[in-house]
Amino acid sequence: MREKTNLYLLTGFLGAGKTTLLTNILEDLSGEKVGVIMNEFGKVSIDGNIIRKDGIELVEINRGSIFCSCLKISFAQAMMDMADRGLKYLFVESSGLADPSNIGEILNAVKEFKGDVYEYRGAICLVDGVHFMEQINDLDTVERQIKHCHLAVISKVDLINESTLEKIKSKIREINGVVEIQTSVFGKLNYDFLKKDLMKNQWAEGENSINTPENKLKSLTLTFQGQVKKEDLTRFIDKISGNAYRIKGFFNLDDGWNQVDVVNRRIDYKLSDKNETESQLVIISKIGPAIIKNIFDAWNEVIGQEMKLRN
Amino acid sequence: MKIKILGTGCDKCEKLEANVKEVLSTLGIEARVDKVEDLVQIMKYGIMTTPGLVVDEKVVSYGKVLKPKDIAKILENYR
Repeated sequence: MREKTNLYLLTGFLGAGKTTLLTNILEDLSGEKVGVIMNEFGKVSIDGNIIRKDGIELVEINRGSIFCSCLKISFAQAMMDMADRGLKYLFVESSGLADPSNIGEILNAVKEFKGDVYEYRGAICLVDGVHFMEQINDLDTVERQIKHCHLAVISKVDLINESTLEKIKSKIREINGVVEIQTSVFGKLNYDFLKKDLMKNQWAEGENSINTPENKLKSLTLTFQGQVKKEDLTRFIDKISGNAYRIKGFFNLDDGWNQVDVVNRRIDYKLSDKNETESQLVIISKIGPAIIKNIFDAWNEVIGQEMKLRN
Repeated sequence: MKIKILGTGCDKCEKLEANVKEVLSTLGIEARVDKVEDLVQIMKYGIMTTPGLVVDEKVVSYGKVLKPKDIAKILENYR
């Protein structure tokens, strides 16, 4: 059997410098057979001529929003196409794939059709040196990307001072205790990581093990203004309860205010004389932050109206 | 008649499912409608984009949300 293709995921918020970094990595790897899958919407693509010259295979996925789960198929298709090209490296540049539970699902699908062709070597997260400290306060995405990456690269360090850099580093450490941190200027980077075993820097999946500080239970609160049908709430809960230890709260349903109590997959409703201003469910995750996407997907699918989810 | 909606859980798939159900009740067709959300299962039907519509294990449409009148035309052939 031929050698497996080394697969890397490149994440990072808009403007952090993913494309710049990727262009540099590709330059460094000229001579190797490299593939790139890009899925960012409305993004300037890497110069096609450079790519052809270096024999790099490029697939761009940009029909539709990166937030649409329909794109999973396009990803799997693209990875299957790439599987036939005998690549040494495949880089997937994507903020949409920031959640690694996605990459697992896609890899499984590819495996089903093409065999075990990819070796997932890790996620590299670009951290915007200039904007990170603001982004981290407002954007859960940025936090999730850091939590799920194996190598964090702080970009644009020539534009920030030493104390800001230290603040960024300690913030990253706070979110992800084992990630390797590097810095970069103009997308230049030490490419040693291609030889290293980044997967040993796995942090977020360690949530299920008992010996990491991250093991503390993840609890989320969903709030909602308005009323839904009991059967719809049941459908929603059925879609997430497998991933939750416990779900409880009060909800405004078509037959009135109900106390909702979920243990494992069992849902109990009890009519309540409470008259709250908004419905509220507390969800204790079994799978750490990965449940966040599960909750949003299930809610959008079944109910679709605006709700708020917070830590 | 067995109908399957192939979709990974996006709005378009929901819309297609709703349209199919609407047509079934308008035409009074008895059919079982299942949703297929598993990536591998969907890809086994060989479609490139979702949502997909499968009638009696045959892919009749993919990559678009069919309007009720188009669904009606297709389903008439399977009655």
